[in-house]
Amino acid sequence: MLRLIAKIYSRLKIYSAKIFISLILALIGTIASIVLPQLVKLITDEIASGISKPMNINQVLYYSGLAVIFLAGGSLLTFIQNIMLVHVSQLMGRDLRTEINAKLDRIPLSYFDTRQTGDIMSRITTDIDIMVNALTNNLSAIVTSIVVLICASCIMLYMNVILALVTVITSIIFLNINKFLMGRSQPYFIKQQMLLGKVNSLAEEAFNGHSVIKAFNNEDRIKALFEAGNDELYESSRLSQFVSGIMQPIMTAGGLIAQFLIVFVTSNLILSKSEGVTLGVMVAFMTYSNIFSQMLINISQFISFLQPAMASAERIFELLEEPEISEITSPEKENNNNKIMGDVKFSHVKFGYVPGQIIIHDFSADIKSGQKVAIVGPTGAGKSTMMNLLMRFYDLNDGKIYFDGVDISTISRERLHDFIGLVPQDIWTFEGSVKDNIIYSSKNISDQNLNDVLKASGLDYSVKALPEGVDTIINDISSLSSGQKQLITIARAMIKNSPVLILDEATSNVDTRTEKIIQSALDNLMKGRTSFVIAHRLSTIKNADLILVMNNGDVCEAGTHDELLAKNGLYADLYNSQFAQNF
Amino acid sequence: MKNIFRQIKAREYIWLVIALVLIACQARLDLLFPEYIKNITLLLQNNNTPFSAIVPLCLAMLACAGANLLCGVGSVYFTAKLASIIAKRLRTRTFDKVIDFSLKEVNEFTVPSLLTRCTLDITQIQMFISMLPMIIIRAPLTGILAVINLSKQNYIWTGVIASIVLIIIIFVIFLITSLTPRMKIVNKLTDKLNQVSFEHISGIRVIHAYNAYDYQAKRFNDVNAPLTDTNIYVNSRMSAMYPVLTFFQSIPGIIIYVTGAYMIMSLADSSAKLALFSDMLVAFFYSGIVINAFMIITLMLIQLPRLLVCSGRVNEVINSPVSIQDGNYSGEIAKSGTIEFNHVSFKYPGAGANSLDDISFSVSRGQTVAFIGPTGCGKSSLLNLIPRLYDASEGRILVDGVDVKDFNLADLRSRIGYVPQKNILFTGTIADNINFSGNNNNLERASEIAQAKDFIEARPDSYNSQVEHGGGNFSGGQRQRLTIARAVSKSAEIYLFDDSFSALDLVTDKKLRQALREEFQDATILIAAQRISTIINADKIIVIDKGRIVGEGTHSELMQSCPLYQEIAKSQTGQD
Repeated sequence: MLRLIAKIYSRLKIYSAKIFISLILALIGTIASIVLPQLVKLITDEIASGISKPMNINQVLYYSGLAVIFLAGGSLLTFIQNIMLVHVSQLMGRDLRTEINAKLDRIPLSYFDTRQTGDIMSRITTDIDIMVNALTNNLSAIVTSIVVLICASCIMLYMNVILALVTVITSIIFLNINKFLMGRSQPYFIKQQMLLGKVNSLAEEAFNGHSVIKAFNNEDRIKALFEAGNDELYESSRLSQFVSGIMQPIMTAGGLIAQFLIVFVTSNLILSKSEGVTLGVMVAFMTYSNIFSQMLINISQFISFLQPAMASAERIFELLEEPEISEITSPEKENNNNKIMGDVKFSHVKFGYVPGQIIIHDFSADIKSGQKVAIVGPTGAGKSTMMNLLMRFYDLNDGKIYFDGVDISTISRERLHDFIGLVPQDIWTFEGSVKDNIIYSSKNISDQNLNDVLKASGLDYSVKALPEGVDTIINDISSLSSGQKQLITIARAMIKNSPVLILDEATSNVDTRTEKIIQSALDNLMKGRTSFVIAHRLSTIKNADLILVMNNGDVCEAGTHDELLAKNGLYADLYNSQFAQNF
Repeated sequence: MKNIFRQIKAREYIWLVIALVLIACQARLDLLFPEYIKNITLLLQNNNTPFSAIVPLCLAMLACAGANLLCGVGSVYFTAKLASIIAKRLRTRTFDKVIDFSLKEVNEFTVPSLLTRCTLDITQIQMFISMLPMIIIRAPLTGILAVINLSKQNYIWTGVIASIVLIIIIFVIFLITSLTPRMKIVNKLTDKLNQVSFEHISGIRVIHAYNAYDYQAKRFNDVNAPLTDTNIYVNSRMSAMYPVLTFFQSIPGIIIYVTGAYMIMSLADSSAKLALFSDMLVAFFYSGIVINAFMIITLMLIQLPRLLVCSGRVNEVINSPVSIQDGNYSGEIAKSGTIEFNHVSFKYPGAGANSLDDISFSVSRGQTVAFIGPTGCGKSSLLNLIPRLYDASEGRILVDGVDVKDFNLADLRSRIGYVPQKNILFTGTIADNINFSGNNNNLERASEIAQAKDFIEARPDSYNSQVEHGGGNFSGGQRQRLTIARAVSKSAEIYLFDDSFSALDLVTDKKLRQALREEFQDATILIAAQRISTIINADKIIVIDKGRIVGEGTHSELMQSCPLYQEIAKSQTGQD
């Protein structure tokens, strides 16, 4: 807890002047709220004494004027300090978001394999929002509440000890009753959230699986399932709503009882002619008791807001403090004058995503510059894994990978990535124009370049058909098929124009006819470059210089198409099954 | 709104009435308190009052506080009950309605929107209903009672309180409405931020591969900066609310005091002065209570527009008609296993062009018919028309000799085993998923045909293993085989496979098809596919392009006659 507060504080340091000023303003503002009941008391007594004697109206007006000035001044100061705090906390939120976003690029990819996307996203948006709001609403509230609490207690004690004790003790008792109830209601809320989530995911599945439910006449069963979940949710939401709802009447009753006690005790004191106890004192104490319990509520609210805010802070800093990818500090042989050849050599590579679970046991292959290498094999054989390793997305458990004879673990990732164009298995486009999606981070791309690539990737026709051509924004509304999106990812690699190319199932979402159209473009692209092709459809890789057949993380066969067919092994099996003669 | 109240039944109306009565009592009790204080002050002004005269009044105050607590707790109990039950009914009705929808309606609304309507929107409604009795009873009643009590005493003070209430309402409404457009921008930018973050995380490999760190940082900043600016704009103006309200809460008390002082001064009689003084104290306390009540109601009413949107969205679902209904053919329909398409055209709702155009063919019992063509050619749409997931726009589809529109839907669908293009699985056990229609227990046989037996039985709990949300704990190929097992566990006369072998490797694909044919010799099988190898042995292959039939025949016939088919075949075998 303290550790977290220290971390938050360290981020607020740059704003410390603003925070300091706003706290000062808050303190001055609170003085107004403390002085006000005193003025009310003075006015009440002044008027009361005007009943039997002539009224000193000037005194009444003087006190009233003071009251208005204090009220207006206090409100104004509170407003100004609120604005300052909004600025500070929002700016801190902005900086944290930027920082996390940059952090994403520096943590190992394995982090993303083991976590849900939604979970990481909620740290960037929801968690920061919660923290920022807690800061905006509570930082000044907590300070001023404590000050008011102390000052009000002192003034009350000064005015009358017995009445002060009565007020303070009643407020504290009711606050504790409320705290007790709040603790009791927590499990109901947790249960309600859980059941709400359950009903939610039930509905999500049912709506997404609508066609299946219909086709299998399963409507009644799914409705009954939902109804059962809904019944449970009803019961728990009724309870949690009730438990949280009764806090308010309890606090109201607490206030009334405090008022009753004040009236009861003051009456007794006034009638027994106690020194200095007047009707004004009674009115003032009633106001103080209101203020007092309000401040206690503020503080208890702050504590209840603090818990989720701290949980959020924890999650934010957890991500920010994730260990980063090891990056070599003094890269060797980064001589830009060297011509990049594109030789790739795998030497006894051993790797597993999870410690203790080795997937690639002993992978070796020697690929010469300009070769077209195909990697085939059943699902889960480790084909994409090998490409991930070549990109240094993961670090090897054992063995080495050499690029132009240099161990890739001594080349900086950025430089390595500059050499390699990747078309990944999962189609990735972002909400932006077709043009932006293709050019992406490549620099100095002319329109001519872009047009050439559009033509080569077979996109030119379909892009022309889009409402705004290359400037059409890719989103849920614009109806780009997954095939077209995949072509965009290919075009992206084409425009990058790097010496090595990886095509990981790059045409899996393109129908066979379109595939044929771009196959020639891909062949052109691969000419003179070292290229790795992972493909299901074996027809597309027949002309590869080298086919590596992988099974269970190892190369089990290697050779050209004809050599492998002659071997009559796994490759021949896979190839022949594409044209199985018996349905 | 009307629909919300339609969910209330007679018994619950009693709850509502009880809640309202209790709240009314509370409002009355709220105002009783200052009366007691006034009476006590009157007594206190007289120096000769014995303390025993004050005790009964004080006890009455205590009783008043206790009664207030009871009424409060009671009304919360009944409102919570009422709000929860209405929410529950609305949820069930909305959900049931969506299940009754045909795919056409589901697609028109879209799944995410339906989900929001079924869950978040209804939660909003529930929250509002639980505040409703407070809004319609407590604040207005407190206000009215206070005005009645006060006007007997002094019109000026009534006027002061009323005008402050008015100022508060106008201020809050002005503040909120003037900020609403910006708040909408905040929501939009937050969505955008989510979108960019999602893209960042899902595309992390691409970002690394392209060293696109700066590019991505700029995209993020393009949203982050305006989001922060708008947030600062909205929140700093919003933060005026609390100080301004505090100011107006205390101002009427001071005005009442000052005017009271002048009025007291103008009176001659000291007992009249005393009476007015106590009235002034009452008015002072009233002003706090009334302004508080109206402040709460204003803050609640701000949410009204939002509620109207939510309830409108829920209503839209509940009132929307279901386009596909049972037919009314009453006779027995023989299970002959035939399918016939008669000049069928189909257009997706809202689409410009037909997805299927003038399709005619017929299939007889025990035949295997395959459909092939480029992505988006209409193969899936065609299969969807047979179990009436969609209705044809033109033409007739006959199953077992009867128009599908005349069938009882459950009867029609019980004749069909369907494997959708998407691998849809449900949370539950493997057994639940395979035996989805709930009337067959031949799990092992079905899994064996679907080539799923091995990997199912390799799991520790075998058929009772859990399937996680969306089948996330199975690979794509395994999911596909489970959906096939689900279809073949049903003894149907017609089986539809919508591109259902795409995620299987070729060896498994082949084994599966062999098992299918052996098991279901009499069944009619329709397959939509991408791979020639999957359909090479079909009795009839129908080639579709842009929604039209461009070729029909066996593999060898089409290799002779259909250029598109030849092209597809060549591209897949590499035999140029």
